[in-house]
Amino acid sequence: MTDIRHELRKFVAPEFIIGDDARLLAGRYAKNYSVSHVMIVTDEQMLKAGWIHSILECLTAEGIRYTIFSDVLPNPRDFEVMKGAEIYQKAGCDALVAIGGGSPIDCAKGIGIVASNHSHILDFEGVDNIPAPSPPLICIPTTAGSAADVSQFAIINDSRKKAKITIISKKIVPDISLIDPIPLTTLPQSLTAHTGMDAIVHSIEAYVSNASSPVTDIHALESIRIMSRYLPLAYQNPENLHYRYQTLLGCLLAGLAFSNASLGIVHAMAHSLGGKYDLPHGECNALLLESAIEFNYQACPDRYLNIGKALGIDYCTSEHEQCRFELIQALRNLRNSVGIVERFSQIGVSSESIPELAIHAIHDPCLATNPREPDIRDIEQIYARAL
Amino acid sequence: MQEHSDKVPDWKSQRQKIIGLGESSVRKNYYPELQERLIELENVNQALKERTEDLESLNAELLAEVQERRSMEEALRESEERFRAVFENANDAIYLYDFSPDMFPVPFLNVNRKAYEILGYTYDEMLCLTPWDILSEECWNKYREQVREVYKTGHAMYEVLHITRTGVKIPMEVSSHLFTFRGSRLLLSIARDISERKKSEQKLRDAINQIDENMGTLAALNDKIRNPLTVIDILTEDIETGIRDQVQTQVTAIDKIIDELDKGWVESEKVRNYLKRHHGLYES
Repeated sequence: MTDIRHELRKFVAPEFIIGDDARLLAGRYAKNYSVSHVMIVTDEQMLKAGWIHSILECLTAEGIRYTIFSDVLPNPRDFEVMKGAEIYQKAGCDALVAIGGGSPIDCAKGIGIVASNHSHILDFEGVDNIPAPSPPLICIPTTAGSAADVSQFAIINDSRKKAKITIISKKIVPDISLIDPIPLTTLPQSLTAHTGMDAIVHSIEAYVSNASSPVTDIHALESIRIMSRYLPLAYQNPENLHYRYQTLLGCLLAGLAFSNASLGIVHAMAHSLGGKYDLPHGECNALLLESAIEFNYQACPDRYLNIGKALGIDYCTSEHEQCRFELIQALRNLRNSVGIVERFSQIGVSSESIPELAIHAIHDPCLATNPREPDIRDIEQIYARAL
Repeated sequence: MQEHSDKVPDWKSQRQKIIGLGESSVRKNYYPELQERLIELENVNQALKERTEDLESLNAELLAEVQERRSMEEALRESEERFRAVFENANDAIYLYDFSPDMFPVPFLNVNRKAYEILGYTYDEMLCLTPWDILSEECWNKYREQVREVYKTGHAMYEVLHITRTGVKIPMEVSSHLFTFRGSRLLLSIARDISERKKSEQKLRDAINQIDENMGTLAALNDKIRNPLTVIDILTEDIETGIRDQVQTQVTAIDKIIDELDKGWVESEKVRNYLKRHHGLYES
């Protein structure tokens, strides 16, 4: 036993509150942070949903003023961040409240970075490139997928290059996440499916990450168990609060896992795709996952075996090839069960773009923790298989 | 966004950073700054407190000083009022004045009520006059001498005649003092009206003269009576004894009366000498 080395590992988790009506604590937390004027970062769909008023009311009840910024599209653009930061400064805001899926939350993180560091958002690409911490950030996620509300990640679209940049820093971990199933009851089916698959990919990539730790493993595997069971149920029964709660829990655990263990090749490649084609991030992940596993499997077959078990596969063999096949089959069934049945070629991705996509992907920091180090050719092949 | 080179990033170091063991992964690094600011604030607060205390004690000192000055002013005012009351209500005339270095007269600096009332002027009129204006012309020389005396010895006492607005001369006994006030040498003269005293002295002098005259008359009468009496005595030596005795008896009686007159003369002389001695009239 003495030859076992225990590599140092850290686990960072923000404060979070999960449960019905958690969103109504936004005012209390804003008050706790002694802020007086928050910027609410959200999108147009959220503003149309009735329940957002309950959040505004709880802020007002605590005497907190707010400025709403809702010019955020899916896959948030750099100029949206810069515009938001300008409004933030001009309005004299002193904190951020992000309400929405991954896009508004990532945009809010970007605004926070720019507000504190006074530079263009694209200057902060990569790992640990943020000098000053951001203002207080309160997150109210309205999808069960991105887990941006607990992660140290922010993905921003470089609109000029049509490529996503990845910002990783513990300085952008939110201060509080208020995880409430009620807003999810109005989430469209496709978004439920895409974001849910995103969460599953988070768990899988975190679990096979070369930066995983015993603590992230627990969260990742439990997340896979929960998501594989409840995602199809929530997809079928969008207004069932319990199913929604379970997907949020699964997403939270996945987020805690990947925020600390980081991700891998699927995300690196999905970021590149999403940047160029502006496709839903979760869908890209779901469609890339199987061919990525085919590439990665040999690096850590035992880990993939555990993932299969967490997915509920009853293996009759320990033969790697067979196990890999069964795992990929199970994941395909899972995405099919939530309506993700297409291939990239069907949604506008052409084979000519593969070399360009691969070049962007190989520079994505998510590759740093992939269990198997790919070269450009490997990445191109994975894209090609997913077409 | 950083330009992507064809070089594949250093995944090992990227992975180490992602795991991050606190090298630069402080989520909110405001705490040290907060501590610093708190200490700064504490120091500022302390400085303010000390400054406040300083100001408070300074204020107390100032208040005490003000109080002291106030009571000093009060005392000064009282003293001034007292002085003014004495000055104004004095029964003697008081003049305060100055001389230019060549003894050229300048108007009075101040006079009291008695001073201008005696001479029939108002206060304002009086302050336009000089010492020479209230002095009878025959006293000018005497006055000049006395002022010199004052400048020499600091003090002089003399009698002069003051002249009123209407030209009436009033004998005054003056006591002058020299004193220095704010760098100037001033004269303070206190004058007393001695008209009544002068009148009494004159009456006394008249009375003594009368006594002298009476004594002269008395002495002459004695001689004048004694001489005929001696003649009577001689003439009666040859007449009969009976008559002679009767005449002698009468002569003796007359002689006794003359003796009584002599005694009266001596008494008059005593009275005269007493008056002269006790009223300083030897000279007259």
